[in-house]
Amino acid sequence: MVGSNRILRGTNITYVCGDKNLPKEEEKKLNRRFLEKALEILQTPVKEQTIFTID
Amino acid sequence: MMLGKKIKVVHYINQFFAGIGGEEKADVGFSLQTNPVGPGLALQQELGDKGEVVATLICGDNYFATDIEKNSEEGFRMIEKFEPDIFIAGPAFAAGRYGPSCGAMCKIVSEKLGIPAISAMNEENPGVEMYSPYAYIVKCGINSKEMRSVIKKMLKLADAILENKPDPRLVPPNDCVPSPYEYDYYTRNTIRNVITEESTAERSINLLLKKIRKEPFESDVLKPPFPWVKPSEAIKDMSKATIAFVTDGGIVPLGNPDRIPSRMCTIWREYEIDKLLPREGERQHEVSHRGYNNYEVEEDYNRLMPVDPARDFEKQGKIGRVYPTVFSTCGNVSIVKKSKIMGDEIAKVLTDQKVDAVILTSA
Repeated sequence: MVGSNRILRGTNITYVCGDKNLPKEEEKKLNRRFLEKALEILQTPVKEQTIFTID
Repeated sequence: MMLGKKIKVVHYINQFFAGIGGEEKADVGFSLQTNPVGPGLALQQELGDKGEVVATLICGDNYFATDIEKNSEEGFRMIEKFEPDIFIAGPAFAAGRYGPSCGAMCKIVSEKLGIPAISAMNEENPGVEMYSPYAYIVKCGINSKEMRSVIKKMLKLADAILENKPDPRLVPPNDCVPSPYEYDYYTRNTIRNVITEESTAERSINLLLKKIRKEPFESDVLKPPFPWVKPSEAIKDMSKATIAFVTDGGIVPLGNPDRIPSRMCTIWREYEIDKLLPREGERQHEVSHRGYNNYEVEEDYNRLMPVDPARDFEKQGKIGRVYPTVFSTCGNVSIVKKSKIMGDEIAKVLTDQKVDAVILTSA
């Protein structure tokens, strides 16, 4: 965690921004949601290390 | 303390503690007084008859920061003639420029004169990480109301260093180093050999049992201080921003032509996204990282880095530009120090190329 101030929790170690248990189309939607959330977080001011989730 | 002779102390403080002024006077250069100043008065009181503050070196925080090395030399030249027995800098508490200047002065004084050089800083002070290997930096809070108690702590450590008493558990030559636990200072990361009664196996289990029982214990290896990194500003307009992907998941071209190691990696490489992660056609990537099962990411790179949605967003104008290369390394059993170097190198490329933000992913 050393220097990261904006952290988005991923699904799992081996499929951080996806989910192998979902059907392909659902996984694509999840993957897009991860990116959207990442962009949202980049536009969010933070004062200290903050952990976010995709909801 | 050394008997008979009075201990000569030189003290370093900044423009604020010298009473010269606040931020507006931070550009003032060096000055010297041959008596205690500001917190030096409390320092002299705590020393009592055992010591004397023979000189106080003062410098503005901004002035010092403009060239730390050059200014350390300038400061040193002004005080070396006093032949101090100990050097005290600060306390700097959490002050972000004062801390490094105290650390820098301690470093040059201890290197050139071989005397104990002691400061005090809060763990968030950048001076801790920069100078803890070179100075004895006592731990303290952020409030200068603690001044007197912190000065007492610094002098207690100074006593211990001057006493140079060998600890019977330690093995020469590093057997006189005061314990960072006992004197509450940031580890200088020096290795001390210790003779113990128990075997390593017995010691390890006993330490573990203490930890599980939530009893106090002394770890052999102290965590190096992690500095606080100032959060960057939020992006104002994503549709104009350039976003780059960086990963420590070890994604590499087929055959790993650059031989990125799968553990203890100290190198990083840049790869063109369109070549490494093509949307259509055969897979062009593999993974060199033995800290996780690579199968899922090798099947679909998006699971590690959401590159395809980023491409879509770029087409739709939601992101200004996706930077055309991805920065890849393997973050398995990496050394923090080396990782920091890689981070600085990658950051230099990113800033030179005017990248606005990074999505850094980790497996």
